[in-house]
Amino acid sequence: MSVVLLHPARPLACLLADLRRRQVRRGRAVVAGLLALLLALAVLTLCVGQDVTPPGEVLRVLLGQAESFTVTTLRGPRLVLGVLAGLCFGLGGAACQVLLRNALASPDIIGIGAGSGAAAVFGIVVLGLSGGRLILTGIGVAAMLGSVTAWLLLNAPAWSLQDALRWLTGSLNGAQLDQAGPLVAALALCGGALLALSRDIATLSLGDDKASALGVRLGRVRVATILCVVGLVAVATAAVGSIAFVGFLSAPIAARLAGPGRSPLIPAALVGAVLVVGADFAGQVLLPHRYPVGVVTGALGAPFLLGLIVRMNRGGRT
Amino acid sequence: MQAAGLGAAYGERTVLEGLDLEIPKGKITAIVGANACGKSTLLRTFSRLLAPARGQVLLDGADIHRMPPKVLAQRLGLLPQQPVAPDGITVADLVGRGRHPHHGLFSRWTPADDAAVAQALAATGTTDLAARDIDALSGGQRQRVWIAMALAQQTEVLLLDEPTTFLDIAHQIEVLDLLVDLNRARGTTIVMVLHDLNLAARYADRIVALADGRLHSAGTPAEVLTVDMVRAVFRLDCRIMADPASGRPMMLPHSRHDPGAQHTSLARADRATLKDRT
Repeated sequence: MSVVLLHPARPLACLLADLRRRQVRRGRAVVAGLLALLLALAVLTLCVGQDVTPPGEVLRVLLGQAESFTVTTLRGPRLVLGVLAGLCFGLGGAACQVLLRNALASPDIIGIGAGSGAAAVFGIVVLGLSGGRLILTGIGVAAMLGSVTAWLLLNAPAWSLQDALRWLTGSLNGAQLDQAGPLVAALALCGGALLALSRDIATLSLGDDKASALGVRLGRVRVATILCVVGLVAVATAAVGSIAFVGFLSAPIAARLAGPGRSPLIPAALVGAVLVVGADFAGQVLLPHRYPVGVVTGALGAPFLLGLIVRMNRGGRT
Repeated sequence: MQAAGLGAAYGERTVLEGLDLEIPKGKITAIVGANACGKSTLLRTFSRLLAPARGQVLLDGADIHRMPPKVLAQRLGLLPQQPVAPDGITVADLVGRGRHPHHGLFSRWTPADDAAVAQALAATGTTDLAARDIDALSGGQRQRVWIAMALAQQTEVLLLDEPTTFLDIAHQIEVLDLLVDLNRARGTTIVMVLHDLNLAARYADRIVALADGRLHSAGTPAEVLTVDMVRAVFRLDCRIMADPASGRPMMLPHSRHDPGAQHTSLARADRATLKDRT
């Protein structure tokens, strides 16, 4: 035994390098696949609507050689905002889930999307909440804020009701290109910070004690992560409303695709974009009526949430 | 390592008080004591999970609570009592996480990292498990993987909180033998909390006995594991014999059901109440 200790097993090191290279390749393949899917959806969104614009015509419009009201004013901004918001929701959701070690802990479910981001930060920093307790508190806060919203809607004048409802379900209707600026800024700032923190965030999934023993500054990483998540989700929600369940669904799907042990942040962001753009396309074109994107993602996410809760109950966890 | 006038508390409740302790370099030290005597708390202040209320923990004369966390993590590793593994992670990945303190914000994985992981797997006999899912392992295998992760961290000091809990006796011996291997081959200083006094006496160079948050005694197993210590620390009567193979002291507890044993006052009281009722 002690002989083995002194002589590093060189072939084994090569084997490990192989294993890791395979994982990296898989990760890259997943990212490439998601990008291709997103591109395909983008082409579909730009070309297909109430009428069909041929791809060649769309390309000419994009290059500035032709004009089309449908492409530049309706479909283009819709696509850009959909992609950006999807990236924000996906990235924010994944970071939050990894940080709190719980698939239920995405911002939309623990109520950051419902406007209680400040409360979550307050809970973590001041009250020292973590993990399960934060999630339960968040669900409670979300329910409370939900009833406040319902009360406001009941008392709202008819003309503002429609706007409010559209924002609440999350919709890309009425998307305008000048809304993209804050989203790009949030992605660059908060998204960049999250990627820089991703190794620390991943180490936190080993539990507080072990992460701390590995040199992670727990408090600092937690606060920075939550602030970034709140920044991403708040900006995206302000632009397109709270598109249900995108943050919640993205990370589990990305993890399933990329395999365990990899940081799910980048794939999750791409999955978020694919979900929003795909659901919006489905809501606009594929379904018999036109539905806002939030209705479609809600229909996708709700069964997944129920399934997850049932599975967790069986596992005896909160 | 050294504790100087160390005191620790959870809120108002004082758990450790006025502890002066020297952990010798390159030796195996076992911390023993009754439940809730502050053993785990001592290990937590040693690994900086808990800030001391008073006094200092020194590593080569430097206060560990003032060192940058990553610098400390390159020198001192910890295996907590019940570590959690992320869902679906492979053994190689988990052991690789032990390299965290050796990486900066944007540094890339290097062949040196692979070599450290490979060495840790080989040393713990978990090479064949490298590509396996951690959830699919037995308790003993999993504990060896966690130790492998601590090894990949390549620290000069390793703290372990009850590394043998939930393991059957064969796996307990396997894990402790492994720790002795490490200690001999790498000169790693090992400090562990152990429940089993006989295993502590068998494997440790030094034993530290705590009672009610204070140091009761510290020294070689023969010096510390005495009838008086067991009575004072655990409120238990026992005999101490030498293990014929290792020469280390062995503790055999007395039971009030031993033939010829005197019944305790509790048993007498029980019989008295029984007589009153009949």
